[in-house]
Amino acid sequence: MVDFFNFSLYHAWLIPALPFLAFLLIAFGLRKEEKAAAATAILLTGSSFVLSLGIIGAVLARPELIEKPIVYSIRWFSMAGLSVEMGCLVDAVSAMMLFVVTLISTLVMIYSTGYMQGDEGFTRFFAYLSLFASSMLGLVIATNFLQLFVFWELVGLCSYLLIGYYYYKVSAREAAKKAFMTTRVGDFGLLVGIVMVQVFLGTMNFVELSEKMPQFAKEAPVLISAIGLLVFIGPIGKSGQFPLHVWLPDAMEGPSPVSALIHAATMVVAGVYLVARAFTLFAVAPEVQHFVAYLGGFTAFFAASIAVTQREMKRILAYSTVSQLGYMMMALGVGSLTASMFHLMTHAYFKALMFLAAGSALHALHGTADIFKMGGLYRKMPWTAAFMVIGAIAIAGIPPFAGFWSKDEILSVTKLHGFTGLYYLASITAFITAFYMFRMVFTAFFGKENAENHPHESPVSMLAPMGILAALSIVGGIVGAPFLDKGFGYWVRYGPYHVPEFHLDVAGTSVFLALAGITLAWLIYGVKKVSSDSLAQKAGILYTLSYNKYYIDELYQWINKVIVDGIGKVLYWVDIHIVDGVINGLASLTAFLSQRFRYLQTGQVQHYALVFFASIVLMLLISGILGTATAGIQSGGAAV
Amino acid sequence: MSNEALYSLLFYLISFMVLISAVAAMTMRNLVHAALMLALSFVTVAGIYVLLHADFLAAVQLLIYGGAIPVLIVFGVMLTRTPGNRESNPVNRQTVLWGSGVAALLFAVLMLALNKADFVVRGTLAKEPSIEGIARLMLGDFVIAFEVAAVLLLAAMIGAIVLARGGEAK
Amino acid sequence: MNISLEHFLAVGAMLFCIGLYGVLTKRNAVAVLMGIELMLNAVNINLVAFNRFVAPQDFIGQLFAIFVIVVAAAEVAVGLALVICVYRIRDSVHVDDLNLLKW
Repeated sequence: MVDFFNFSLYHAWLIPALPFLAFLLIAFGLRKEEKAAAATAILLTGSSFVLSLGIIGAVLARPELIEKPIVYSIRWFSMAGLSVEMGCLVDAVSAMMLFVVTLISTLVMIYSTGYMQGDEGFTRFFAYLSLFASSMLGLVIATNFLQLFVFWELVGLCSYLLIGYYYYKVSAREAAKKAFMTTRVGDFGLLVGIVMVQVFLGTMNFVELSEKMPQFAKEAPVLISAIGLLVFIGPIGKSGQFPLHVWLPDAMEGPSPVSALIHAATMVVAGVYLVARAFTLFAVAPEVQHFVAYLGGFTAFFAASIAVTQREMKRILAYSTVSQLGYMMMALGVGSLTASMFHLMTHAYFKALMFLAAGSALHALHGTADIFKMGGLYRKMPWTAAFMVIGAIAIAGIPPFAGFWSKDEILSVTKLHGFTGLYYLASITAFITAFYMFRMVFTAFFGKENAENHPHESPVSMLAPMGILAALSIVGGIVGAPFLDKGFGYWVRYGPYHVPEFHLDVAGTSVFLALAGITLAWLIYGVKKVSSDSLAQKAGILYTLSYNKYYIDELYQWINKVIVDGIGKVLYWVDIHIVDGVINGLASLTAFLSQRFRYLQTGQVQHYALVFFASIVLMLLISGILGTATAGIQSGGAAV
Repeated sequence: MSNEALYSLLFYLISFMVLISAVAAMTMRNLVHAALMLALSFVTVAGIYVLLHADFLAAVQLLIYGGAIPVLIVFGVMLTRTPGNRESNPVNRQTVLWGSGVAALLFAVLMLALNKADFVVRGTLAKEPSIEGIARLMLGDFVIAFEVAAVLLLAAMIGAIVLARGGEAK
Repeated sequence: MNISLEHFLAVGAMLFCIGLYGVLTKRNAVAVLMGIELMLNAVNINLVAFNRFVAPQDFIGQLFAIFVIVVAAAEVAVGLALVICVYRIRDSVHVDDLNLLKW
């Protein structure tokens, strides 16, 4: 057993390599074989999962990895002043991420055998999923910024491919483009930040950076802050923080397994993971770190306020994801790597579960997405309903479900580190979260059935992965519970170990707020004691703003059309008239001059000789006036 | 008359002849007359060489420039006579003004340079006859130039024959 | 007055300029060749004068003059052959008629 742990520790590169092998096999060999393609993907990704378990086993035996991760790499390329390697970095954080990513990838692949059955792009789907899994895993074990950026971009590519999976739908194509372009804005900032890291700090390697960071911070604090801010722009895009959150809700155009895997559990947390990896950089730039915290807190509240009025099931879940990502960023911003990573893990469990359950419902109802057109689904789809309820309880933060422990951890550290304003905001957001989640549950799964729908329960291939995730959503939080001696917080941390304490006031308030939210939702949508429509009318402008996502998309479209296209038109004019004008002007000047000068060529030898000798006379005169003629003659040369 | 005075007299006389015949060669309307004046100019230049103690060179000048080249030129004149304007040596109206101007200006500049120049003059003559010295140099240090000149003459001869013959032999 | 180097150089200069006048202004090609010959002779006078006054022990100036004569003779021969060719084709030896390189 220990041999296996050691093997996986030193062969961690296999973990991204195996799904990539699956991608190659499916894309270049198994295009027509549906069963074989699915089996290949599931087997190879499952093997990566087993390897990641081995790594966890190895890490648990080596506490020294917390401070000093194991890094092994090969040189990729080098030139004067720059040396870049590719390799594996293994510590507790990456072990946790590997576990989560491989587990959810495998479960989603199993689920997809049921969900995507009958779809004519079945093998293409599994090829893309495998490629995505391998890219995300490569990102997790990256040793330096450049390797991380390479896989960051690959992950973005896979997201584009998978969002636009139903390429025959215009909305899907547009959503894929929007996702790619929005994250591109973030990637640009990240790239500038990475280049600055290399140019000013001399190395992009995470371990080297963490060693040298205190010295850098002392010498050039402003520079470090600037770099931190630029690097953070990448996560703003990829992890859907305000204002680059706009792509996530539209990404729901992709199939539900994609939403579960990429836009809930793995890709969107790449930004959070990047901040965690580069935590040394942020830890010495307190202004940037505070900005991260406030932006995260604001995003959490902002997204929750939109989710309250949305009608499509997956959109509600999407805004919920943005909101929870905000929580994770906020946790990093207030200085707790532990809380953020813990919430990342539990959120992966219950959000993936909820997306898969939503997919199950949508699959059964053949595409009706509006929850108000559903109702009473628990009668015909008991398992799906149960799983969705489990996920909702988890996200609301009711103990002993997983979400309670991680959300409580975040709230505790926020209050503990003095960010009282953020603490209140986060608590209110928790209340709103519970409310809109159960609004969705009560409206879609309970109440009166809609006569037009003919739902049926999903097959075992879809239910089994959900079951596993449901189990993890219930018990998965125990690893970080405060009464454990060396729990999650011991292994995943930054800095010295603080034994976690259980704060009854924080926990009690959050549970109370969660229960209040659930009750309110039950009142409005469960028993319909209070009419939701009258509430919407009373809210008036707030309702309109929330329902229309605060018109941010419209604002961006306006910016695009007026400002970006406007600048484009100006530059086009400059290009046509000034740049081309110069070139064409030079050409026409040449033509004009040559038209005039050609008359110098008379063809008469004596004219040429005349010019020749006249020039000689002129040169002699000039050199004579300048006095060089006398020097020439004095040295004994001839005058002619 | 002292040697100096005789030398000066001869110099001025011969120089005058050179220049007058040169001017005549360039301005006479009859081309054949101009060619003959050219020959006279060459012959008097031989006299200048004698004044400069270059006796062998004077002989060569008389042979080549006094004998071969005027014959060539007269042949050329004869063979290219235009039936209309017989023996006419016209002036190019377009360039005559500027041409004479440039020539005069060049002369002025050369004289100016000559005036300003400071020449290091050594008057002692060589002991050996010039022909011995020339022969020693030509067949010693400068033998390659000598050979090349021979090749050049060969090439010129072949070229002139080919050109003057005109067309390929069938 | 003593005849010195400058006098001979002046004669050479004058001869050169007379030849130059002929080259630049005469219409007949043979006349142009004659002008060229005058210029070469002027050069020879210069060379020999320098040889006599600056370095009389060496005979390099006279040797150089001999080579100039060689080249001049070759050049006149080939030049006249060319003129005859042109005359055969164009039936004119006026240099201003030979303007095929005109614009």
